[in-house]
Amino acid sequence: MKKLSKKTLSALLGALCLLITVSAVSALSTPAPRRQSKYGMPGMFVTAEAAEPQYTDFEDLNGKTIGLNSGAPFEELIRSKIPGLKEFLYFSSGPDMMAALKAGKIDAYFMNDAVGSLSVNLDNSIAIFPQPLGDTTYGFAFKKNSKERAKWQEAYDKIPKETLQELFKKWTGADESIKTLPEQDWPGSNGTVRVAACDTQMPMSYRGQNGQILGFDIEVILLMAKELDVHVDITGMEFSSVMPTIESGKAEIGTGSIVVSKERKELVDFIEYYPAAYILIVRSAAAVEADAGILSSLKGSFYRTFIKENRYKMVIDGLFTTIVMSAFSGLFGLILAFALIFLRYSDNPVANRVIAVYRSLMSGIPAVVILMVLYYIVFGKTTFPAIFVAIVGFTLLFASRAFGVIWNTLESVDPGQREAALALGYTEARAFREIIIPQTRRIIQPLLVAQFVALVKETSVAGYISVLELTRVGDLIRGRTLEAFFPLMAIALLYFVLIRCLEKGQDLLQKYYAHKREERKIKGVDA
Amino acid sequence: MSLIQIRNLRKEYSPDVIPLKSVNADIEAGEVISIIGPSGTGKSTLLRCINRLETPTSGQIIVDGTDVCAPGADLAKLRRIMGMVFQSFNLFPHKMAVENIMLPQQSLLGRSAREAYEEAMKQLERVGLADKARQYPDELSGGQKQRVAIARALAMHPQILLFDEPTSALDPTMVSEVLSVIRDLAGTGLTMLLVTHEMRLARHVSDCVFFMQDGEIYEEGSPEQIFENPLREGTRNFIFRIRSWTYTLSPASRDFHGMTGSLEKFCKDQFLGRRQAMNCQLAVEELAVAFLLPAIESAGKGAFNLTLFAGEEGTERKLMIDCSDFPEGKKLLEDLLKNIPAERRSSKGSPAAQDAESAKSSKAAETSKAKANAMEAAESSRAKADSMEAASAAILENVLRRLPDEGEDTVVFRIL
Repeated sequence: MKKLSKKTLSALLGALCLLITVSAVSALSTPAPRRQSKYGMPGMFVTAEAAEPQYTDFEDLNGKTIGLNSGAPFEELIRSKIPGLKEFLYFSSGPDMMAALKAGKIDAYFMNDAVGSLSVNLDNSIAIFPQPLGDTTYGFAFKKNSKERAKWQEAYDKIPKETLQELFKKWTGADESIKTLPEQDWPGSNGTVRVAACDTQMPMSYRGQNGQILGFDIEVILLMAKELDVHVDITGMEFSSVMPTIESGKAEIGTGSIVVSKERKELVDFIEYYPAAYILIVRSAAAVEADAGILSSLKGSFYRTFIKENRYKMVIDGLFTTIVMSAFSGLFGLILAFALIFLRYSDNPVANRVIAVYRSLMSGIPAVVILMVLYYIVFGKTTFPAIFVAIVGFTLLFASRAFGVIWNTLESVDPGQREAALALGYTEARAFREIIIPQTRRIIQPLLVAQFVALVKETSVAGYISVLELTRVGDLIRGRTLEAFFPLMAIALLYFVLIRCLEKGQDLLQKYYAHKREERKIKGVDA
Repeated sequence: MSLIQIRNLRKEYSPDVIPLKSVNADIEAGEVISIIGPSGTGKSTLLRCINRLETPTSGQIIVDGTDVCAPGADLAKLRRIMGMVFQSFNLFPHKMAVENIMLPQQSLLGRSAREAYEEAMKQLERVGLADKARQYPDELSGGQKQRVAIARALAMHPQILLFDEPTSALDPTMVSEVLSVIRDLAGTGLTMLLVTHEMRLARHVSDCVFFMQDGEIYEEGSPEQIFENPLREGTRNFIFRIRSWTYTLSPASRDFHGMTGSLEKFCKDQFLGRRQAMNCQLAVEELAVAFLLPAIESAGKGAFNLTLFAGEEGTERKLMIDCSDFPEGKKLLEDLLKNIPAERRSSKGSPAAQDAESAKSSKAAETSKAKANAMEAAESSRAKADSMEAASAAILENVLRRLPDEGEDTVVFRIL
C-alpha cells in the first residue's frame, strides 16, 4: 500500500514537473501588463501599441477554426463574412478562448469590443482582427414581456450619456484603483431585485477583490437601482447560464456583456444601454519576446493568481464550499441510502419500482444535467441558494450509488446468517440491523469511501449552477489574470491533497478496525 | 399434553414440489427424536416448519399449547424457547466465539455483558471450547464451529433444540467431536429433534426414530425397532440400502476408478476399520479385474451385479454376486473360484484368530496387489491372463470365505 502511494505520488510529481516546464515556456510569452492607451470612438477602443494581427482579411480565415462563447448565437453572422471557415468551437468563458487561441487550438475567437480589447491590451501575443463584423449594443436582459423592464428603461433614460461614457472609461481604463462600486446606501424601499451576471467578462462584469462582482454593467445597474430605490442581489454564473436563469425566473435582470442580437431578442427583452461592436481576436503576427526571466515571470503569475486582491481567500472559500458541499451530500446521501435499503428490504413492490426508477435516472443522467434540471426546473421558482440545490442533487446521486454498494454487499451475505438470527429469536428488522449490517461494514466502508472520493471530484460541476466551489474559483481567477497555469495547478493540487487525506483517513480507519479485531477485547467485560 | 403436536402438516412449494404431504406427530417434553430417511423427503423442511423458518401450507403445529401456524403468532417469542443448530453452523463471522454466544443473550434476554459472558463461558466449557472463546469463526475448524453454534443455542436456555443435519458439512475427522457433544446433551432432559444421516447417532441417542419417506412419517418406533426389525418394507429397504453398496459390472460400465472411489467412500461411511476396508476393496477389485470383466468381455454381453452389505456398524461384511444377467454365470464363477475355502463354523467363534489370519493375508495381499497393479498395466496382452488369474486367485483365497447360497443365481462370500 505504501509502495503504491509512493509510486502514485512520484508519477504525479513527474506530471507536475512536465506541466511546470510547458507552462513556464508559455508563461514566457505572457508579458507583464502594459499601460493602456486612449480610446477612439465610444464602444471601440484600440491601443496605439497594439501588436500586428496574424490575419488581416476575412479570406485569411477561410479554413480556420473560430471560438465562440457557448450561448452566443453568432454563427450565421460570422459565416456570412467567412464562408470558408472550418468549424466553430465553443467555450464557457473569454479566458478559455484566449488560452485556446494561444495554444493554437483555435485561430480566432468572437468577442464584443469591450472584453476583447481589454484582453488584447493586457496581452500582446493576441491582437484584434482589423475588419469589423458589425455594430450592435450591449443590453440588460429581462424576461419576455416583463413589466419590470419599462420601469428600468425609464430609470435608464434618466442617466446622462456623459455619465455613461465616463463610467465606460473608468472600467476599461488601466487604473485599477478607481474600479470600485458605490455602496447600496439608499433605503431600498421598493424591494430587492435579483441580477444574474456572467462573472468572467472583465471589464463589464467580473469578480474583483474578495470575489465581489463588479464592472461597468454592474455600476450601470446600480445607477438605475438607486433611481428606482431598489436593492440588487447579484449572482455570478457562467455566460451560458444567464439566459436560462432569466427565463426560469430565478433572476429579474441578466447581464454580463450581453450584446443584443436578433436571436436573443426572441428569447428576452433588452434595455440597450451602450453601443457595442463585434470583433474577432487573433494571434499577433509576432509574439513579443518576454523581457523577464522564467523565475520573475513565474513569480509575477503567482502574485497575480494568489496574492493580488487577496485571491487566495477566494481559493480558500472555494475549497471550503467544495468540502461543505461534499460532506453534507455524503452525509445526507448515506442517510437516504440506508432509508432506501430498509424500504427495499421490506420488499414492497411499489417501493421497489420507485427505487429502481430513481436509481436508473441517477445512473443514466450526467451529474451536471441533474443539477441544472434541479436548479432551473424543479427549484426554478424557489429562492433556495444554489449550494442548497447542489447538495440536494449530489445527495440524490450519492444515495443512489451508496445504495448500490450496500445492497449488493448485503445480497452477498449468506442467507444462513439471517436464519440463524431469526432462529435465536431476533425479529426480521433486528436481525437485519444487528446481525446482517454490522458484518458487512468491513466490505462496505472502503467502497463507500471510493464512491465519496468520486463525489468530491464530481462537485466540480456545481459551478454550472453558480456555486462558487473550487473549480469555479479557478475559472474566475483565470478570468481575471488571463493565465491558466497557476490557477489550474493550484486547483489540481488542492483536489489531490483533499482526496489523499480522505484515502489516508480510510487507511487509518481500516488499520484501526484490524487492530481492534486483533485486540480481542469484549465490550463490557474487559476493562 | 404433548410438548409439540403436529397435525396434518403440509408444505407445498409448487404443485410438483411437495416436501411435506401430511405429517402427524406428538413429541413429549424431554424426548430425543431422530428423523432419518432418504434425501428429499422433507426432513429438514419439517424441522424448519416447527420453528417457522418455513411457513406451512396447511396443518397445525402446537408448541407448548400455542398454535405457531396461526396468523399473528409471536414468532420471535416462539423461537426463543426453541434453539436451532444448522448444517452450515451460521456463526456470525464478525464476532469472536464468546461474543457469538453473548450477543443474542444481551439483545434478546436483556442480560448484562457480564452475565452473558459468564453464561457463554459456561456453555463453551460444556462443549469443551473454553480455550477458544476469543477466536473468530474463521480461526476455528468445522467441528469447533458447530460446537460453538450448539453453545450459542444452549445459552438461550431453550426447551427444545432442533438439529438440522449438524454433521453433514463436516470433515469425517470432525464428526465425532460434534456427535459426542450431542450425545451428552441427550441425557439432560432437553427435548431434541435431530435430522441426521449419522445412523450411529440415531441408533444410540434417540428415544424414538421417525423414518420419513415421501413427505410423511412412514414409520416411527424405538431405535431397535427401526434399525433391527423395521415393520414396513420402505423402512427395511432404506436400512438395507444405507448399509449396502451396489455396482453393476457390464461392458458398458468400465469406470474402474469410479467403482473403487464409491466403494472406498462406502467403507468410510460404514466405519469399517482400515484392514476391513482394505479387504473389501481387494476382494472387489481382484474379482472384477481378474475374473468378472474378462468373462464379460469374452462373452461380449451380460453383466454381474455386485452388492456389498455391511452389518450394523460394520460387524459383518457380505459380498453378493448376482449372476442372473450373465448366462451360465454362476457355474463359470464357481469354476473360477473353486479354491476359495468355505466358511468354517469353528473360526467364527474366535475373532482373535480370525484377525490374525486376516492380518497375515492382507500383508500378502498388499504385495500381491502391487504385482497385480503392475500387470494391470499390461492388460492388453491376453497372453498374461493365466498368470494374472493365478495371482488374483491367491489374493482372493486370503480375503474371501464362501457362504451358503441365497438364491439360484447368487454367489455369496464373507469378507474377512
